[in-house]
Amino acid sequence: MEIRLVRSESFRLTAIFAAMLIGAIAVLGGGLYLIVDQAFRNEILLNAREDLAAIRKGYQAEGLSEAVEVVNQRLAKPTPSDVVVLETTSGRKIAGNVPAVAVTTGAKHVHLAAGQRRPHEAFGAGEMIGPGLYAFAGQDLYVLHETEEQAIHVIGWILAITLAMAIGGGLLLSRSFLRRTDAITRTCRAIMDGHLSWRIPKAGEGDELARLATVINSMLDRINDLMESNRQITNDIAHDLRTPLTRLRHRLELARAEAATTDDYAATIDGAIADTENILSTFSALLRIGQIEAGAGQKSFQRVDMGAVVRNLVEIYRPAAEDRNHLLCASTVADAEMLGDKELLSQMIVNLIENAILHTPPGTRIDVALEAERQAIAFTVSDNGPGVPAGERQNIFRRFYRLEHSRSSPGSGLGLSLVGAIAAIHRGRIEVADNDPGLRMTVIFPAQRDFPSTS
Amino acid sequence: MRILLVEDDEETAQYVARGARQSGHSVERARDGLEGLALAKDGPHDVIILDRMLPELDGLTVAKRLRESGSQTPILFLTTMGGIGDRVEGLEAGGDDYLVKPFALAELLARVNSLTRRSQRTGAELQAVLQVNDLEIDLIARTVSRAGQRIDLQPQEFKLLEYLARHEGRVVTRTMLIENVWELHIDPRTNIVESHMSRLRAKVDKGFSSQLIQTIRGTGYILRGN
Repeated sequence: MEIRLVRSESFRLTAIFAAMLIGAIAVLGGGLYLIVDQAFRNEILLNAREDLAAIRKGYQAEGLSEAVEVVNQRLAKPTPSDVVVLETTSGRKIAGNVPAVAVTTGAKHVHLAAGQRRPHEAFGAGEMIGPGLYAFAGQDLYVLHETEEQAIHVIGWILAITLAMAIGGGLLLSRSFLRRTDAITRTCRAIMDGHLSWRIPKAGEGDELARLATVINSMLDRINDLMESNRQITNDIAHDLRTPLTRLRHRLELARAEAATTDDYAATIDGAIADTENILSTFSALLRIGQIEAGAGQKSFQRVDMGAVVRNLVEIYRPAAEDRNHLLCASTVADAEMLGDKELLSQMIVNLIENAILHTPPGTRIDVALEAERQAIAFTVSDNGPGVPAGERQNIFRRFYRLEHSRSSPGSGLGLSLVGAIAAIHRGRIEVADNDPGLRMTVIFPAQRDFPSTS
Repeated sequence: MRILLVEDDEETAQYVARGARQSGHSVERARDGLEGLALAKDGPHDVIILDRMLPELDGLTVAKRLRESGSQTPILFLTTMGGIGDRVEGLEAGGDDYLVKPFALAELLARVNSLTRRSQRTGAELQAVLQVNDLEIDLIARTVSRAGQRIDLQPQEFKLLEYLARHEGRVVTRTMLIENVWELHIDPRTNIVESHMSRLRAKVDKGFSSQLIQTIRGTGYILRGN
């Protein structure tokens, strides 16, 4: 468990973050140290030069005794870190609170001998005061060193606390992260083991893990839907093909038992061929729906002139509709282009027109319309026939679903499933409405004004 | 006519070969893609019926190699691959027609006939006027007359008549009309072809002693002059 915690991504991220933070604190502390140190030394030098100037002034005005007096006055004030010494260039101390120092002028460090207090270092400036006379003024650096030590202490503590918080936070974070990823892993394992209904438990609100869990859950739902629909197809095939196959078998058995003339046999064979055709066309419709739902055809999308397609199909279907005493007309057909598969879109229009022709009584008026708006292209087939009861409207897109009164008319019950699948791959939605009287079916596609250069 | 049949399925091959021979064609058969390619190159054949899923070399490749070698022999794909995009693939590989199994023998034979004649007279497409007996079709003015009398046709009727006239003397199936005249690939549940044809026949043949357009029962139509 501990190793897993340390290895987790969130812990690694926290560690990197902590390292960066520590680096930043160190740079900041170091910078601050340098700045303060420099300022302190400048201040010392400034004071030292003032002191030296006072000593020189005293010496030039009234001689050595006055210079000694100035030094003693200066040292009379109780600031323990002040360092002043007046000496001859030969290194003999005349006045001051430290032993004689080396006679060099300018800013410098001076090591003070042990025994005074502790071994010390002073910083200040030395100057010649007069012929053979030299003075050094400055500050014992122990104050600076003590301050610096304290600062390093504080920074050290800050670093230690930061580090501790980073490690602790990292462990906490990765533990909660691991707990939640473990939940996802457990769910996936369970699904692999066949518990298909398992879902990732909800934890946290709206963060990325919660979003991931939601997406995985919806993906599982979608897969479940697809499998469900697959199972549905298999069941449907089993049930709905059994009927025509049984009919075929009965027909053949009957002919075997009763047919007497070659005409009888011929009639039976014709019937059998027709039955087989039906079964085969059901199969190919199912196959096609499956292919479309799997996304075939989308890669070959091109510009389709929907206006031309609709006008052409209405011309092609008008005589067949007339022969069944239907009136097929195209009231409004707009010029509209969309990206799609022309063959599939034609199939969709054909299925909707044929449904209207086949499932309405003679004398019905069927109106086909194509409307183009800024946002959408709408294809509508409406009729003034008997319509579909409101309660059944959502069922008509189900495979093999057939309304009671149309069971006797030709068709596999797959036409609208195909329409639904074709509309879906073109990002279209279907609206089924009451035409009062009759049925009104509209397929609405999003308008595409910017065509990719596929044509 | 000499037909090369490249088909690995024994039953289908016999069914096709028997039907073709009964219609007076001679049939040479290959059982796999390589054999088919070799026989096709030995040639000459009037048409090649080519399966897509074949042992050794698939049908698409056979067609491509044949076209690369410069062969112009018409190729008809006869295949179970009827999925979206499959037909386009077949035509792009060099096929001239594409028929999906299961198929009716009459459909296959009509298409074979259509292909062989087409390759014999490719010049026909350049004609401005098609003439069958006293029927004249002006392809440029898009007018039709019979025995000098002008006949008014709807656009779809004109297209159907033009196709029939281009295939004069040969059977044209409903599917061929739907695919080639209307460029649709659908299996209609209504009589769209019959409805147009009855109107066309009423306009072209009614009142004349000879009926140019005839129905071939269960198969399609034929436009026949003397």
